[in-house]
Amino acid sequence: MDHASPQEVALQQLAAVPGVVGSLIFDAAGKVQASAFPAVFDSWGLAQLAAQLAADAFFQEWMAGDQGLLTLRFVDGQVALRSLGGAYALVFAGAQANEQLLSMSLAQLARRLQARPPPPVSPPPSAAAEGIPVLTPVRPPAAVQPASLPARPAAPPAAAPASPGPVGRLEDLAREELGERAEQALRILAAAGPRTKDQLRAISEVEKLVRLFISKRKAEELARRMRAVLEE
Amino acid sequence: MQGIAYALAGLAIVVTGASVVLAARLRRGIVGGEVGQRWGLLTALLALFFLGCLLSPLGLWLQVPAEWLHLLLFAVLLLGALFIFAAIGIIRDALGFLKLTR
Repeated sequence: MDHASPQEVALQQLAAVPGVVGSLIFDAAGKVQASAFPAVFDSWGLAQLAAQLAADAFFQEWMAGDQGLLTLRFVDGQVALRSLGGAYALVFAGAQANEQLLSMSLAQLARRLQARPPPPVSPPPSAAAEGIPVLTPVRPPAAVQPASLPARPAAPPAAAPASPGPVGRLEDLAREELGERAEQALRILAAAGPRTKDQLRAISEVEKLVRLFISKRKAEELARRMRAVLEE
Repeated sequence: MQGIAYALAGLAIVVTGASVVLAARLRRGIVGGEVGQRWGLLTALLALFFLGCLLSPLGLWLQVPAEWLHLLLFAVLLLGALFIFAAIGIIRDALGFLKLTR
């Protein structure tokens, strides 16, 4: 776990969003960089899907830029795709998943990953030995030609990281502390206004929620950390 | 007259027993926090209440002295009062959190 890549950590946090079944990140060449799907999902099939999407001209056009978002709704589920500037995040969620919460979580994931230096396209050989899932399509489509892809905005350099806003950091803290029970706290934080006063009030509400229904100790710790974020 | 008393005791045993089962099931679903603690107290009180309901008709049947029966009766009443107190606390907290109080 200590050796998990930033992408994997981000996907694990995404998995805490209620309704999310699995997620993966693939690069412009269609190569899966990180995956957090349950074992029942065929990794080869997922890699194929990533390769086909990356090779699709319509997909590339639609997802161009850093803000590209595509949501596909089905009877029993939904797939959300988000551009990460040179890579894409794909999330598969149940039909009951909150679309807005999913979209916000994807935006947060994009901010977090784009604030880091772009990962190497090919992970080192030791990564697989350390247990990091590295999925590679067995038969990548011939149409995939990363060098000829239209110019795509590169991830911002590490020297000027795009720091997520305070609400995003508060949401991260809530997910980190509460895991799958973070849904209500995330709703409270998302509904908070942009002013510090509103956010402090939201923190108090989250503290009360956690103290009443989850754990008094965790409530104190979470509120302390959240207030520290606002004080920074 | 005693038949009615036994019937009421039987009914109380059934209802309280069902309540104990429901409370214990819900206790497993509650994560924790203050509501979780209070619900644990409620479940324990319900279990004692159930025991009292079981012992009351038994005491009548075994012709336990009246003073002991009175003691049992008032103990059960006290448990009921504590139960209501704890339940009101949970309801007040939940309503307060949901901002449904005036």
